[in-house]
Amino acid sequence: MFYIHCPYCGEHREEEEFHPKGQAHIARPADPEACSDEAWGDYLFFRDNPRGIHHELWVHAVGCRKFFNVTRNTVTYEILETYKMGEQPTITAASQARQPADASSTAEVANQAGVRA
Amino acid sequence: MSKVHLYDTRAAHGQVAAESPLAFSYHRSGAPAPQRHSRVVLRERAFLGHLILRGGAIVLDEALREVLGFGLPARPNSLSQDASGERSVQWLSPDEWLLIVPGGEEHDLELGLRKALGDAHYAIVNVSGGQTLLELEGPAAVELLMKSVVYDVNPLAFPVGKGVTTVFAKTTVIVRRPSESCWELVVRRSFADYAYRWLLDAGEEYGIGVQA
Amino acid sequence: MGQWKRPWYYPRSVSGKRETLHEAVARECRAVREAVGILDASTLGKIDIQGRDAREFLARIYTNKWEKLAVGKCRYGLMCKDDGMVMDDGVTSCLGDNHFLMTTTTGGAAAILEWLELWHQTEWPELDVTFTSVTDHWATMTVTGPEARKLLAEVTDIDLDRDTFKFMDWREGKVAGVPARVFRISFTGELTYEINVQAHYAMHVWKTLFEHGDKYGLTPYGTETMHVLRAEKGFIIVGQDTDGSVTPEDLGMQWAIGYDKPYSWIGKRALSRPDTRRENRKQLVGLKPKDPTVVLEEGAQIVFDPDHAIPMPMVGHVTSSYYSPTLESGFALAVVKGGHRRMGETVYLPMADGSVHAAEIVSPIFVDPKGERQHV
Repeated sequence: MFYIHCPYCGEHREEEEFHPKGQAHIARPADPEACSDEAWGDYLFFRDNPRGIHHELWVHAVGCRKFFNVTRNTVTYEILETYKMGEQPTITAASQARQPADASSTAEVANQAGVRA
Repeated sequence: MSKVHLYDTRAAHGQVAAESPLAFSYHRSGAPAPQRHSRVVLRERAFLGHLILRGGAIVLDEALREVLGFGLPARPNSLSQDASGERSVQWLSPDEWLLIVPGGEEHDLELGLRKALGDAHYAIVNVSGGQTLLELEGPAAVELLMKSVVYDVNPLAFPVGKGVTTVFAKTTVIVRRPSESCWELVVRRSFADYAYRWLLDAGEEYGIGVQA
Repeated sequence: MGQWKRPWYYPRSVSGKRETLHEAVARECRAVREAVGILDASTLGKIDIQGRDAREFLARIYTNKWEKLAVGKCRYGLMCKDDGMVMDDGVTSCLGDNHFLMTTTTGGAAAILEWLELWHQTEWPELDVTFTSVTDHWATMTVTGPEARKLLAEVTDIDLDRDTFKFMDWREGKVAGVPARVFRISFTGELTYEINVQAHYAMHVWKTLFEHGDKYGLTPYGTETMHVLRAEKGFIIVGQDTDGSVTPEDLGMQWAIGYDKPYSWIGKRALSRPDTRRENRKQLVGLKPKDPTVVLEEGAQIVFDPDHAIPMPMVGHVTSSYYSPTLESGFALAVVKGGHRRMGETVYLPMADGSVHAAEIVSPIFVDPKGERQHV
């Protein structure tokens, strides 16, 4: 049981009211017919599975029914921020890596990001 | 907007037997009358007019003030009402509100709003047949709700004028607090029997009574 | 179905003995094909769609065309995910130029509303369109069968003349004194009126229809009979005859695909991938058991060569199977590799007990293949 801040309702709400919908910021190609089969396959089926900072699409299904974005740490389950559709995250794997870590979980995230970089 | 089709789905008053979403529940599960020891009383306010408003807050607010005399609630998760408390508008999402008015007013109200809204981007949908309003009153009303919904209904966290859509047992309801003593649930027709039976069961320890 | 409890069948007591499922369904099917039946179809998902871009939105989300659907008309629509696989179907009606009523499968109603919101909120927020569930507002009664017009005429002021109120039209008027919206659409293949009224009045309308229906043999039927009747017509049920790996072309529903629509609608691009163009994809066909008393098992695997050493190559499976009182035979819908080119061929269904059924691949439309009965 934990609470998620809905950026449209402007308050923290019980997790049970929300559904996760997979990776965020996946735009449908503007001209699908011009996509190669491979590019279309990537859009349809391939998703990141990072250890650490991840940006996800969620919906406040039992509530305002709006979709929004969540920046979440897949190691600690910590939700670092939520933001509306059309907005960009302020916390990313790269921004985390730049900051000296004070907690062990953050340190691990930073390490992971460092390894990937 | 003539490009939207309007149709009054309400039958002429008194000519046709109407059934509230709880008609079958009263028949099957009964309706225990309130007793002196009842610490919570349930009352259905059936056959009200329910309209869903979609669109931008500014234009809808103006139209509502013009037609109904009061506007949209200023904040998310809250409701505004007229002086009598008979008409209310509740925020459901940044572009969606629920308007509840005395039964029979909804079609004329929709016509009036459409006229006032003119060419704006908006939608109005009559959902009066699809939901019903339940009132809970009494000293144990909050406790009963605490057992039923995941939202924090502690009166300190849930002041008068607040309203949210949330999880109720295994279904969804709208919970609202129009006044100090009264709590309201807006329940979908198809889950009304489930919600009613849940309330009777959960309210048993408070001697729940149902006021016809 | 979904979260709903629905009547499965309506057994009668015949000389003190309660009908079996089989007996009740046979009687209900005959009533619809020969007289008139009634189904409570209120559970159908219904979504009110309004906005200047409503029509454009429909064109993007459905596989077929919507730009010419006139006010007063209804059209069947097929919805895919962007991988080209069928996810839902239903009839959408044009109420006004900027106003539509979409129906969804009973089980898919909530998911489809969320699906529409997803595309609107994440990809096309610039479109002026809104979606509101009206599933619970309207109660739906399907009156279907050759006597449907005569029965309805007794209780409505709507002009039911076959040339004015045609198949795939909708009209408004009073039914049993209640404001109603009536759709001439058919899931049974028979002359059908789907009567929609505000749900408060459903019981009144239902009872009034029965007061007038006795002389026409009005018979209530449940979901089992609904399934048999629609399968006899080759009408699919998404989630039963499809499983998320079936394209509109696999279903033989090219007629519901707008290949030349200007916008690359959801699912279109995937239909030109090599895997969706394969000739040996599993395709929807009808199966006629060689032994008419056999009702094939749903889910049974299909093979071409029953003498092949185990493990036999499995080439498909049965998706829907019933006994048809009209055909006096078992019949089934199935998906079979390359099935559309295999009409008339024999396939085999080895069962767990060692027996093997043989069946002929036929068209999935078993009753009234020209679709004349729904137009009468």
